[in-house]
Amino acid sequence: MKRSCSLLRKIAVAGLSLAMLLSSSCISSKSIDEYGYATVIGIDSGKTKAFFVSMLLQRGNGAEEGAESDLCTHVGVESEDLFEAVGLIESSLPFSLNLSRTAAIVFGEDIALNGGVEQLLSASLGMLNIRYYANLVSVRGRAEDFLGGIQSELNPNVAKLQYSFVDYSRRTGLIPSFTLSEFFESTFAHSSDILLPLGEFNPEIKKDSASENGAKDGGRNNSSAETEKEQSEKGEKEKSSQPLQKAADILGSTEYMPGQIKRLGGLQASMLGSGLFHKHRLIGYLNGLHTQVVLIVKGQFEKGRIQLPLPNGRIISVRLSAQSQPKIRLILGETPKATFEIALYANVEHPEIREYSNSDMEILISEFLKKRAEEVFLACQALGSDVFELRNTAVKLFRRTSDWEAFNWEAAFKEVAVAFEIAVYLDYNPSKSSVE
Amino acid sequence: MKKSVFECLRFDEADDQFELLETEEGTPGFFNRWPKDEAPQTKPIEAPSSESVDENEKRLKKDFRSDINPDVLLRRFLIGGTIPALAACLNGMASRSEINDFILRQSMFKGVMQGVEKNRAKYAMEHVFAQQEAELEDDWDKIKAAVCEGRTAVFLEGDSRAVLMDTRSYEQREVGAAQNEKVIRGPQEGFVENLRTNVSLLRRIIKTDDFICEFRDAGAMNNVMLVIAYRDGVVNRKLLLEVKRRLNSINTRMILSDGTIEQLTERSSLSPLPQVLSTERPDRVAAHIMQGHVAVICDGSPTASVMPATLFTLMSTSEDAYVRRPLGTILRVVRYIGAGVSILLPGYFISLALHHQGMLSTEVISTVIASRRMVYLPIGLEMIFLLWVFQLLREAGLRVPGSIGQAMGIIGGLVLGQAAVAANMVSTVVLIFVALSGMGTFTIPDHSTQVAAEYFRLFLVIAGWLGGLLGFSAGMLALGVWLVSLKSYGLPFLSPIAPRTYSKQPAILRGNVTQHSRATDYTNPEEGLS
Amino acid sequence: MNLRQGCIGRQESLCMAAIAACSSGLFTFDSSALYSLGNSAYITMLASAAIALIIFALAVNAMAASGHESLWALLRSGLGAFFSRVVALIYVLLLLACAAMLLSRFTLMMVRFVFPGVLEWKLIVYLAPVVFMLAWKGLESIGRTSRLFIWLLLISLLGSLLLAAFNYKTYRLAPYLGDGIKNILGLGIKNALLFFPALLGLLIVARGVHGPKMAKRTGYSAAIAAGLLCSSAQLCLGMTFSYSELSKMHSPMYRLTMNFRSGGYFQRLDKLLFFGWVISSMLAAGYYVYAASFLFAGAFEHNDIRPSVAVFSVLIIVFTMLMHSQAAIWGNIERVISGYGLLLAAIPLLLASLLARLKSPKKNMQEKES
Repeated sequence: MKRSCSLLRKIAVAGLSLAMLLSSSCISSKSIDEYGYATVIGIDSGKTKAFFVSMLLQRGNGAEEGAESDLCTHVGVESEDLFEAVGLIESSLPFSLNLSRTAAIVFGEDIALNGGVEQLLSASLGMLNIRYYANLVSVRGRAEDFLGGIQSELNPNVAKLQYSFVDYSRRTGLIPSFTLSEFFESTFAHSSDILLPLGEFNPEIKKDSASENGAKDGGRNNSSAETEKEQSEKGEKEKSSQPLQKAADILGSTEYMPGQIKRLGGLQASMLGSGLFHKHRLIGYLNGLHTQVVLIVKGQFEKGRIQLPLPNGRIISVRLSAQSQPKIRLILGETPKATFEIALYANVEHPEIREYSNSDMEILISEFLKKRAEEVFLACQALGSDVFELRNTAVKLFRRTSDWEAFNWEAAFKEVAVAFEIAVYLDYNPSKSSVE
Repeated sequence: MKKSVFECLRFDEADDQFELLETEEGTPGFFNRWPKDEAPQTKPIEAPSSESVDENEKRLKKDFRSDINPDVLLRRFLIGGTIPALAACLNGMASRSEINDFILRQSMFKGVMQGVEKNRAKYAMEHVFAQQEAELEDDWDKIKAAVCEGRTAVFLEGDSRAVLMDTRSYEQREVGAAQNEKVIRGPQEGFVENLRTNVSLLRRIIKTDDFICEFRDAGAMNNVMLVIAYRDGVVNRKLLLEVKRRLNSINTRMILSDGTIEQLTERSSLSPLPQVLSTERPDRVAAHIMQGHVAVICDGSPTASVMPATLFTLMSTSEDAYVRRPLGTILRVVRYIGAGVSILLPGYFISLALHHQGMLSTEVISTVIASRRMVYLPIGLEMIFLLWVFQLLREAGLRVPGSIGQAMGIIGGLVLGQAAVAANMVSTVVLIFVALSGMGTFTIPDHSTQVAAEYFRLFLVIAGWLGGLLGFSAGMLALGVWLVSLKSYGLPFLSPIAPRTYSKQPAILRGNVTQHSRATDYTNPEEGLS
Repeated sequence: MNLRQGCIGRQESLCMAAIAACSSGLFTFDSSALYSLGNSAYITMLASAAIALIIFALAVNAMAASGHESLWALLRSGLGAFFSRVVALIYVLLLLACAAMLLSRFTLMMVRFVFPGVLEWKLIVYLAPVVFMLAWKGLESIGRTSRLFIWLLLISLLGSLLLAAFNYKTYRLAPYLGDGIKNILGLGIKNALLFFPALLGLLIVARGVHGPKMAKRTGYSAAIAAGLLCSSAQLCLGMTFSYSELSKMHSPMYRLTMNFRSGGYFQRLDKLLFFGWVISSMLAAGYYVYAASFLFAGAFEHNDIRPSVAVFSVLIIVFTMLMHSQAAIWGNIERVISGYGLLLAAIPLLLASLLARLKSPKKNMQEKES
């Protein structure tokens, strides 16, 4: 009797558990192959709605032949926000969209200028499962063009682009790396102004066959019904007018800017330099060299090369690497003063140069970087952009939260006098030759 | 012709097909149970044997149905030429030469029992019969059981006690290598079906005076004997009493192997995991007995049951101790990793594929999508289907004899798998996961534990299918809770990890051989730790 | 008697109590309150653990001195039959509320980050049966399961903190002392309720952990371990996010894991580590439900703990659902509990300890002997 009761009890418990589970049903009934994975999202301004959202969907794995070798599909639609865009794009796809593999969100110039970045990213992106380490990028021109330009046989896996760009940033310092998570920090913690990597689409670079196929099949769901010719003409017109009517390099140079470099081959889209923001609006661009200096001062620079002009007119390559984190001394008061102490290792890539001693060369490099840092800082300060994160140093000077919250940092920032002390340690032996 | 036609049209003849008719009395239960759920299987106690040889002969003839059972040999003779006696044995079970040379011939010398009026059986046992093993018995059931075993019972006129002598001799398998527990380094002997031989195999390893082998009736109607083996003074008395108590509670119709004993004495009958270690190797049994465990060996079964058993006992092999420490460690690590992969990998993959695609890299996602392009089964069903096919192949390989079995495995694996992928029934990625998982199962040394792993794997696949990593982790925790609450003869199944007990030897890695100076702490041996 | 207490060793009881304390300390605090005055939560956590430990120490020493083997006996001896039952009921509700809060927080995290858009009850259906199973099986199972999973949980927690290390910046902690030491201590007192239930559970099951003396040692170790771990986690959180960000976050620990270094495999580990924490939360909830059932059975003289376990398991499901569906009401209740809960929990216990000590038979016997 006891055993039968015990057995009946076990059956009842198992039945109840099964009933509970079955009544809840599967949490999600979609399988891995029922999704299309958006690897890059592009945001531009729309004609009839706030945004034009375009996406690159990763499809194949490159193992198939023929038409199935198309690796990415480029889709887009006009919408008021990302949620609406996802719903509208799915109406024309045989699968659901999955944004959990999104590597980058690219903002077009017009959106970045009019504050659309904050407007778009203030939504609950967690509901779309967008990962917080997705990189943010700003482009000169339209993001949809940029998305079309990054498809290539050179890079079958668009998601790997993220890795390569982050790696490029680490190796050269010519572009910054900025993630969605850092954006939230700057929004909610008001920590510093943001610096996004800058991209550009160059139509003059010849497409390879794979990206041509991709363009034919996937197509771009442009909001207007313009012909291709009209579109390319419009694109040329916009491009030529961009530096004059829209944002520009804040220091007025054109070297090391994306789209300005004469090159042959590679992706149609390239990244170089950065977009400078103040209160989440684009205020201008920094070219690659100025971006490098900003990263050196911020302590985000690992290694890279500069082209150092010598007094005799010659330009040489110098390899730099960070020695330690920069130290910042900030004195607040009537006239705030900030001193950046930076230490770098340097290696001159031309061992045949013997006319300068180590100490001379160190001074040359130090002065060059100091001058560049000063001009960038003054330009940013004039625009009110605290991209050097002085605010993060200022907060450390306060003992109480209430004191800090009562302090007007923005006003103080405008008055800060800055000095850069850049110590360069040269690993350069004139007795070595280029034979070794 | 006419007759056959008419016969076809007849409907009044009884059906001559054999039918097994119900003969139980009383009203059957609602679920068709017998009125008495647990009917006693053993017979009522019989009257002791008689002093009269004639009566004993008659009784034996009746009980053994000698008119239709020609195996029973009842030999009347006169001991010392004067005293009537009767020898009873079973043809084919008792040794003819032993009976002839050491019982009958010894008895037939004139005057051997001269002047013996009382205690004739005892006198004959001490002075006449030249047998190594002899005892006096008047319990009729025991006398019959002894005869059935192959011993010879000799009744003497005027004494109710019979002399039981060990004359067993029958065909049996030779001691050979253990079939299912092969090792590269170490003893190659395995148990056989004969209980005595098995005990001798143990005694050759444990040559101590405290090594006890208690022979007793298993408690079945087929009168099978079993042995409880342990070291007195080392084993925990409570454990021993518990083993004996559970064995005493056996009251069944038949016991054919130690598997039946295991099932009748375990507490968690629904548990996929066994609660005793079943092994063919005498060295393994001896090692456990030396550590304070108890072993039960059943006559007719080439395996011994060692209790208590923990998960780590089931996951170890005797070879772990025979090889050097680095080798033993890597073997164990590979084994545990294999078991882990076998149980966890399919469920983990299903969770990610169905609920957490973001955790997979883009390359893997693309590959899975490409491989599943035309597959119509949902991925969860596909996984379960493939797991089932793998089990099918495994069972088929076991049942099909000899060389065909190996070919079956190869054909099944390669051809069937390839064909299934080509027919878009399954995808290559899922096939690989199932194959890996299957390989992992084979690293588990104990067969019962291998089968238990199938249950766990299926449970986690379903949990992952329904609830993603939430279901998977809840399932893992539920399994963990169940495992820690499982007990083997009072010992928690995950000792010495949970609960943590004193042990210099690690549970998973191979410890140092010099640390084998103490019995295992978790059995609470009487030997103590000093 | 079927109280399923059994007996567990020091390692098991330490793992059980530490997991419960860490889970509550890391996942059930109110962000808006804890970070409102700056990023000094790493000091607050230490203070909270210390305060909870002091209350526990006073109670357990009273138990040892007066010869009582469980909390119920202490309460009964100190407060009498009626008031001890009232206090016992309060503690039962406190433990159930803690269990429900843990499940509720994790359910919310899952709805926000892991299974967006899924209804909460569909997730609770997976958590609640395991909690029920743990409590049903009893103290031995809870203790041993905690011992079994402790390494997995430590790796989940420490792994999260280490993998996010590249992003730690000390300026985010500034101002370093928040809004002053006084405020830190005030927050510490309020948040002591995070660690207290785990230690309270040890008092309840003291007999099962070999008596008050062993319970004391275990409690000390668990409180110190939990305090250090939670403080380290808060330090790492503080170096990852500023206080203004943290005060708006519901699940800062999960947000920390979303900041792993990009470009590598580790950036996908956030969900895996998260489910390690889910396991710890289920263990903690099971422990609380069991402790509540045990105290209830003792207070109302039940011989079998299983009906209480079944009822309380259903109750925590109800509480968890209420926390979601009546979030506004529950928010007010949570504010009251976090404001005054410690007083409500500590005062009766300390009073009972004092009175029991005064009435203690050991002391009376010693007096008679002298």
